[in-house]
Amino acid sequence: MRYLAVLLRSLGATLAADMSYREDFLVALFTTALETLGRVVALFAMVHAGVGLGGWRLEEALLVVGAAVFLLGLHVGLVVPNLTAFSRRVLLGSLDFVLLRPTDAQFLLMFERVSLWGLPDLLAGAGLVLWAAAVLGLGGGRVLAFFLLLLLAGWLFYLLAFLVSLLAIWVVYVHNLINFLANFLRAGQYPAAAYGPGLRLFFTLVVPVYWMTTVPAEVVLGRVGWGAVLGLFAWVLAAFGLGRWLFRLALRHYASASS
Amino acid sequence: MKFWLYLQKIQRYTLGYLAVHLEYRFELFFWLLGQVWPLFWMALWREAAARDALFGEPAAYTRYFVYAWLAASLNTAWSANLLSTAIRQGYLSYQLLRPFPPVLEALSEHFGAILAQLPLMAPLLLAAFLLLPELRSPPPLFPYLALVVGYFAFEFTLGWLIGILAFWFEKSENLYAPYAALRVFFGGLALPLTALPEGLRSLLLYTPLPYAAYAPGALAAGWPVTVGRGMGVLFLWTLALGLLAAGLWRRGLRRYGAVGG
Repeated sequence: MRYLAVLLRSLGATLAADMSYREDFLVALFTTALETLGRVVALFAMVHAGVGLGGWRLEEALLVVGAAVFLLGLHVGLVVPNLTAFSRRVLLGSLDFVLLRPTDAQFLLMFERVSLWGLPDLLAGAGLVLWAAAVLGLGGGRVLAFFLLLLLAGWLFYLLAFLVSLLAIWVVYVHNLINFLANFLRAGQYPAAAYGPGLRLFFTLVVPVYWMTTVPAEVVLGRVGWGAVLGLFAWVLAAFGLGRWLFRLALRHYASASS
Repeated sequence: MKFWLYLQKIQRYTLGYLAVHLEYRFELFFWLLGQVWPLFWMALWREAAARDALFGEPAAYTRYFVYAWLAASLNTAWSANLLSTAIRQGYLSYQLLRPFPPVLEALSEHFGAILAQLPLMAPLLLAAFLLLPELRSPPPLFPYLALVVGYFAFEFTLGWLIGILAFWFEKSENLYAPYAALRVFFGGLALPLTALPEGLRSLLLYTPLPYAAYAPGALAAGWPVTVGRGMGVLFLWTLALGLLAAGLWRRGLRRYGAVGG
């Protein structure tokens, strides 16, 4: 309960700060609209030109595109603002203030702020998913399951990004590294089967974008069984456990502003 | 001669900014890595070309995507960000006091950053050359460079024009984002424009967009490109936006109150 109150307070404060640039938000909405249009045109053009999507039909692939755009929204809205703030705290030494608080430090760092800029992508992603679901004739239950799986996938992405951002303890400035991670989501906007065998293996075992965007679509389309969800769960558990352990290890190397 | 004096100053400023950017070379390296995602598209197109699903061989697509990416990482401008921030935070005032136009200073900063990028790009390119032997036949150097420079001039001017709007709107650099989004999908980074419908493509050829990445990439792939026409289109757009920027700059300066002014 206390955690929920803390969460709402800190998120509300940063939202209010973002609201002061309202015109910017309109521009961001416009940009996302253009980007989404570009994505859809590119997908149509690719299929038309003969770039196979690993045997996926256009509207099935659209589901995967929607999933990736939705996750990009989470990246911009939650992952980037929090993790760049974390790296700033290491730079300024104000990480101490977080460690002193009587609430779990990793929780505070991961849910300290939220940015409105993620909202256009979240909306566009959800819109693409709903459009694809309508064309495919997916039922409400399956659409709901898809979004739940996407949230799980988003959580996995965030945990992995947090792991990478722990490097900040040693190298301090990791803004571009965190932006770099979005590349994998952009690669994941097409079904993993569209890539060659080497990249496919890489996306399944090394950088698990296959599990984040393709698997939710495969599950609701009935291409793989619900057992695949267990795989996604296993990734989340592993990333969470590793993150807890490495966070403690990293803190031992953190030389605070005063020491 | 004022011209030679300015040229000398551009050179000095460029070397200064080169030193600044080399200081943050790891940051620049990650930025560069962050720009490689269009190469995932290359993987898709190569895969399809290898299955004989497309016209042309896979090697042409490799050359297209890599050289399009190379051009696009050299011809990007962030002048909108530089000017808009200078206006908002007020340090444009210092720049105006110097006997050197702020626009040339911004240009020098771009030159410095691009020069700093080259040694970082080298290992990436070397790896690509080793892994993908088809890259070893580079595009015709002179037309390729002409397109890169011509498009850079356009984008720098566009950015400066967007930056000038900050005299009125306080913060204008985000207006560049919609253009950047268009550039990815209709400039050739995401897909060769040959895949777009005929009507849309011939319309795009009158805009500067295809010359950002598509035209240089197509040169490398050996697909037909009319470089002369591209240079003409870029020149006219740059001229039009440049004249507009020059006019607005004078009006904007009159509005500019600096900090506390």
